[in-house]
Amino acid sequence: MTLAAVNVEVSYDTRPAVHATTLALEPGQLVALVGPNGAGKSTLLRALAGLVAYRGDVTWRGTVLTRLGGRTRARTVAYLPQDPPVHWPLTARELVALGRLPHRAYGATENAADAAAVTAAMRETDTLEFAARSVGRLSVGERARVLLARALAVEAPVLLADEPIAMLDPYHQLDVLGTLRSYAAGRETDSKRLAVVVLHDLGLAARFCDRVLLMDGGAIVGDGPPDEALGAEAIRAHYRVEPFIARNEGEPLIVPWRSINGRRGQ
Amino acid sequence: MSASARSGPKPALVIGLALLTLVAAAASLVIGRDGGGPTFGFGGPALADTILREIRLPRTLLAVLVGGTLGLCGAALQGLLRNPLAEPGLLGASSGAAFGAVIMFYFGFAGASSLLLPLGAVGGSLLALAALYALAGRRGDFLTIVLAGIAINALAAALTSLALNFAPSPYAALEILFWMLGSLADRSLAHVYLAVPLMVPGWLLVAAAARGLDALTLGEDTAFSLGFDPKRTQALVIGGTALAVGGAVAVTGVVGFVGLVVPHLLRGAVGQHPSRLLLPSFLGGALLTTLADVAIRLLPPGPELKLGVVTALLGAPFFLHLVMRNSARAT
Repeated sequence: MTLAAVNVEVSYDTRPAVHATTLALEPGQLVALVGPNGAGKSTLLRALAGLVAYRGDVTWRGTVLTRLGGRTRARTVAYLPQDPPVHWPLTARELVALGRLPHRAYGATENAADAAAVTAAMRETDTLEFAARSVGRLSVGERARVLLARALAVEAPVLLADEPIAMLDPYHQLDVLGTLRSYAAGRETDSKRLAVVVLHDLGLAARFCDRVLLMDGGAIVGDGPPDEALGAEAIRAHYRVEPFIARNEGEPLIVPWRSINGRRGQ
Repeated sequence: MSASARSGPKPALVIGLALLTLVAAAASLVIGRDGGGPTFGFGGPALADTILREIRLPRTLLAVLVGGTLGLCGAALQGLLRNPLAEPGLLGASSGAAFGAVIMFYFGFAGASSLLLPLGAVGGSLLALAALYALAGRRGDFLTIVLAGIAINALAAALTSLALNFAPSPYAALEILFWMLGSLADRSLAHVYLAVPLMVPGWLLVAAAARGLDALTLGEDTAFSLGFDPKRTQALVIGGTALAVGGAVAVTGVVGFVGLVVPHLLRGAVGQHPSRLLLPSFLGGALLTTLADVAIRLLPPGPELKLGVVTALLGAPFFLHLVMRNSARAT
């Protein structure tokens, strides 16, 4: 039971965005995908979701993802883009219920499993209170949580989320990462799942994630438990910042303290 | 929150619209018009059968079929382009179809085989919609779509004028011109038989895109990740609209704005849901078109107003109102 990428390579026009990448991601883990702007994080995530053309193979349990039918693939891999558009002002609940589309036959109305998944996803993202409100009337952060609930409602064994906490207040950043961790660990359900999340907050990535993938220049340059992948040396080399690293209550605390002048690689 | 907001289609809305459409259709069957103005009933019993079967039944059926087509396709195009200003007429589908049909008229194919006229209309409509989507479809932003629609409409109109310019005889030009105004008068059941084989598959294609339209609410990436490839949704809606609107235009000429007004009026009642808008828009389009066609017959004596003229006169200010509200919101 693995999501595997074998020599996955993405180019935009002729410019390589992700160099040949080979990865195996195990369910039960919350994986952070971190790296500076333009490192190729979103592109790699989109390749795993099948949204960009790539060379190489992405497999789930040994099956090539692109060979799955649309709905089977959709039930297997849920994807949350960074700041997706909402074109019609549905109510928050109806928007979350769109996550159940891959489970529903044509013309079928919502069944008990759908309703339960929608309600659970909204409870986990703290959005139940505005279930009946139009999405157009929500704040940016509230909307971001509703969109995350939509992705959770798919109940897919793989969740790929691009910066799901970027717009959230501190309370909800902590809350949502806790939710994602239990989503992956399978505390709420019996089965373990895989969640891959693009993050910019290194401290939260180090505290909440089981594994960190550090990308720079289109390649994975660090991979391992947070303590290994997010060492001071790696942060200096790839983020060009001097980090402040400490521990609080036994957990890592990473704060980018000062930018380091000079070009990358010097 | 109410249970109905949760459970898909709204039975009360659909049943209500269906009943109203039936009432309007019944009215359309009993209200007629002669040189002296509106008439009610069928004249003498000997005439009744002929009038009903040869004149009012085809007219009523076409009003329902064409209106329904325009409402349905308007709702589907709005869902596809994620823009409440999309409409078969504004996007060039109707004028493209008209041009395709005029070409058939022009080369005299319409007389040779009556099937070629609707086929020309479908081809023209398909070309126009494909061009529109290529120009503006991917981003779904309002200005680009409207501008692309204007360009396609202008081109189709120019080409149609060109054909008129070189029309073999003034009589032929006049015939084309009147046909293009859009009317349900003087149609026979043959027209119904011509249009239905195009409309029904068109409706089915559009209906097959329903869940894909819902998925597109969150953009193309999310739609794809939900298992509904936007390219497939696009092909279904554009192909279906071209077939159905092509069939409609081929028998009635251009009847504008029904596809704009109807989905817009009903969107609030279905909670903005693109797929739930489809069936009510079909019924609403059928209802509005039938009522408009009945109203034409109730007008005082004189030359009969063309249906396309009436819908344009009512629809254009409505469109203007939507554009102004839209731009007011944008600033």
